[in-house]
Amino acid sequence: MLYTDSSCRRGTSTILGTLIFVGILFTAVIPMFLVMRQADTLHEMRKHQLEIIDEEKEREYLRVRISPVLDSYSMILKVENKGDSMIKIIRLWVNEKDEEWIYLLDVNEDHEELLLIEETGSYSVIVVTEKGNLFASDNSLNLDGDGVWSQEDVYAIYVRISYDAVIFHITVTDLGDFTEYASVQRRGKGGTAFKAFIVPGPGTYYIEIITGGRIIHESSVTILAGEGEDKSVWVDA
Amino acid sequence: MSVTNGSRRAFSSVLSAIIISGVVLAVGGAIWAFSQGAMTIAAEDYAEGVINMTDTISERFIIEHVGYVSDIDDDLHIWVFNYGDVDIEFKIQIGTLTHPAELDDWLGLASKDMKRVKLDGFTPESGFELNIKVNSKRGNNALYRFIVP
Repeated sequence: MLYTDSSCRRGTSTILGTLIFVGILFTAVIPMFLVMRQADTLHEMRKHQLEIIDEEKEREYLRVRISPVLDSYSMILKVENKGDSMIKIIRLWVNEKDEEWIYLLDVNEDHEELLLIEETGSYSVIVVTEKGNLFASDNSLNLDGDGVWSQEDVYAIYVRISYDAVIFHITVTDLGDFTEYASVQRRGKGGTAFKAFIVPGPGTYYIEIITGGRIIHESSVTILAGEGEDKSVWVDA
Repeated sequence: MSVTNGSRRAFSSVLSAIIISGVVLAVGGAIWAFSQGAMTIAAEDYAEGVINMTDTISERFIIEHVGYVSDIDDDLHIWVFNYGDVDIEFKIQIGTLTHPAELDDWLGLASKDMKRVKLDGFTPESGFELNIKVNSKRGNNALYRFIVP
């Protein structure tokens, strides 16, 4: 009889204890894990969004040129979208002065804008995009006291890599005094790595790209001198 | 006699069962209440930590321009553009110079906004190469190399 009473008491306490344990599990432990899991999911989603945004930023490319309007205190700004996504321009810098300039430019679209100049001097332009890229004009212009424009050209080699690796070491040389080296990283899966090299002038340049100690690209490009010739060359690897 | 003994035993068994159940309920309830509180705090702390981490990786800013505003003064000006989705707080560092100098003083910059920062009395010599660094409070940074004209 005593054995039965004690067993009954233990049984009641065990049931109550189990109910309390299950209660704690369902009202405290599981909700805590759910909140943590949800926070982790949101974090991962944001990380993925940012990877896409960064990749889109890397793929933006604008070609910016300025040309003089002869016998006037004004110049024409020409902006061409040479990237593979739509670009939103938000600001324009003419030397040290910035102004809001909102313009949407589709792929391969270009736009021309007349810029009025107040005084003589050297002028260059920088275009700022919504994604935080800065694109400087390929050339700069000089307006002297007699109202005569002169132009200083900038020559460039643009290297774009879509090879399946992460870090690339690029060397551009003219096999003479000029050698430029850069290490770039490919952003995101399926993205590209991009690097612009400003070169001293027209001529033949050799490009070598190394990844993981292996040469994946070797080529030479020639930038020609003269009116109407391209001042920049694209290299795809 | 045996009946009396039996009824006493039954009474004490019921009473002891109630007392033990009461103790189990009281201790269990206290543990339940404590667990709920503790786990709510733990979950909130964890979520807050993850949100802070998300804000840290969401920061996107650049030094958009460095130069002089000739019609204002001769001091160096730095333009910082926050193109990310979160507001930032930052300091500018050039060599040993930190602006703002106070440890707890930070410059605020809203998302999608640009700020011009004037470095009072900072007039480096022409030809000097400056390595300008913008440090955010969350630990990100942006760099810019500027050769003084």
